Amino acid sequence: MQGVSLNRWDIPDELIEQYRLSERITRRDNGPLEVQFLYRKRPRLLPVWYGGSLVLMPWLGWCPLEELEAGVWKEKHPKRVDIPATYCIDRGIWYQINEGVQGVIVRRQVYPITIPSSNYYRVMTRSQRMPLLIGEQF
Amino acid sequence: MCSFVHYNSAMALIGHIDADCFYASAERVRRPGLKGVPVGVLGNQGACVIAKSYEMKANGVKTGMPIWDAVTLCPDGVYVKRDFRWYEVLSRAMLEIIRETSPTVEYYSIDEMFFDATGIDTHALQQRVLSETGVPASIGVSHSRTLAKLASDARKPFGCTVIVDGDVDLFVENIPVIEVTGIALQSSIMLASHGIRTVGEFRRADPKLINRLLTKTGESLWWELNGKPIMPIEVNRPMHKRIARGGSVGRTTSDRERLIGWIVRNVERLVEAMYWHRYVTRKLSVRLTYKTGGGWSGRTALITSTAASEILIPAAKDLFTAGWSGQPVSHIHIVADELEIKGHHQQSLFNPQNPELDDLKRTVNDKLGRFAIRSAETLAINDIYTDEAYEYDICDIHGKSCF
Repeated sequence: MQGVSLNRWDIPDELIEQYRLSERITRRDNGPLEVQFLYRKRPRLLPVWYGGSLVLMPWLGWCPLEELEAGVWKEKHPKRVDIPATYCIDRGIWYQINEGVQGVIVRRQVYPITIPSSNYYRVMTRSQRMPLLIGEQF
Repeated sequence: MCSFVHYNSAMALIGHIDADCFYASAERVRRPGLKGVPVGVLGNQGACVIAKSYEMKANGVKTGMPIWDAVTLCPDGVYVKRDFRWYEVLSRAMLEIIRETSPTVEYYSIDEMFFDATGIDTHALQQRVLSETGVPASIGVSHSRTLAKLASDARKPFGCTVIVDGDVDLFVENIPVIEVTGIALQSSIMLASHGIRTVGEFRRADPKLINRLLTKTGESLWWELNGKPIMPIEVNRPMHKRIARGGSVGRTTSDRERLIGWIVRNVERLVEAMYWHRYVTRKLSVRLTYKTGGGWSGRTALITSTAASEILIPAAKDLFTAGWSGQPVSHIHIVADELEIKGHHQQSLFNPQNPELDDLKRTVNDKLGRFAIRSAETLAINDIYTDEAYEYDICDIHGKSCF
């Protein structure tokens, strides 16, 4: 996963101004406005539900679920969070998701959780890893 | 908008309603944020675009195109997993609306229906379908099914076209014959060799020539295109000549256990379909398509007319074992033909014990969900059963008359 997109109406104006997100706002054809958070776009940011509100946090990398479950991240005291998203992008393929992606935060930096790709996801994106989605499988 | 709303014709009229980019529209019903966005619906394990919105089509993406070609043409497109169960919900809702409007309705396919349009305000029908299902649809009305279908295709999306009486000649004159449902590429080439390229030329041709070139089916089209309705609206689906279940096996494989798993899965789906239609079969075929091209098919006579998985699964496995060359397989189909209606079929003197396993599976699965109980031989493809995209296929939608 190299990025997510959220509908513009899901992001408060204060966040748009605070993080200068206007340059990340885009529209596909005649669709609604979206705000894109791409890994290649600096500063690397992701939206996160934290403490009951939507915040933006630095995106440092990815957290393999296998490592999380094996305790490799234990000393970093990771905290599970939800990363809301309307669409995800992987290897240039934008795909619709229902709620978002699961992630962890470590010292107020966010890492989307990844798992081995399902066959469907691998065929669709040619990627060996896929994000752990909230409440759905791909 | 509706081009012709008010019309009077002495003849009975047939209507054809065709949902606009149905799968993409269905996705937009539950995800309104996709409105205006180029949308591609993926099938074949995420490999191909099986349907697309008009926005994606405008970028050159075609149905059946591999996703990697599609994304090159339309990098901003959004791809969604197919969900035939949801599409059927909307399709049945459309069907109910049309049945409430017209006394005679044919459920032709998941997104197309024919209906008796005599005296019906098709513009109001179109608006009602949109407001109650959220799906935009185009409607064509004319004197025959074939003309009505051409009319609905004429002004998509959200067109409403009534072609009657004197308007027919001008309307069809320059339409290429290949756009007529029932005239495929080979037929169009054959017609072209006789100077028939347009519907106008087709209509003026001698019907005996059309019969010689395209058989009785082609001649039926000739009459239909000349405004004589001879293909009735089929309220009840005619009996199948055969029923097939199958398709892609996802990741191409030569793993025997996985292939057996797919065979058993497809037989179980076939048994479901035969139970729904109350069929039994006398003959079973297995068709394999190899990754390198080509394939193999085998057919066997069963010991009795049956729809029982206890008989069909071993028969399919025996066929597979005898015919599979060991090459990687991309597609498997299981076909039942020589169908008979259960209870009206020839009884065998050597009937095996009355099979009860399918009844038990049905009882449990009706309560707990499809495939809650299934053959243990499908464990080799457990990944398929945990993937919701595989739960329901388009051919699992019953009652259509198109196939």
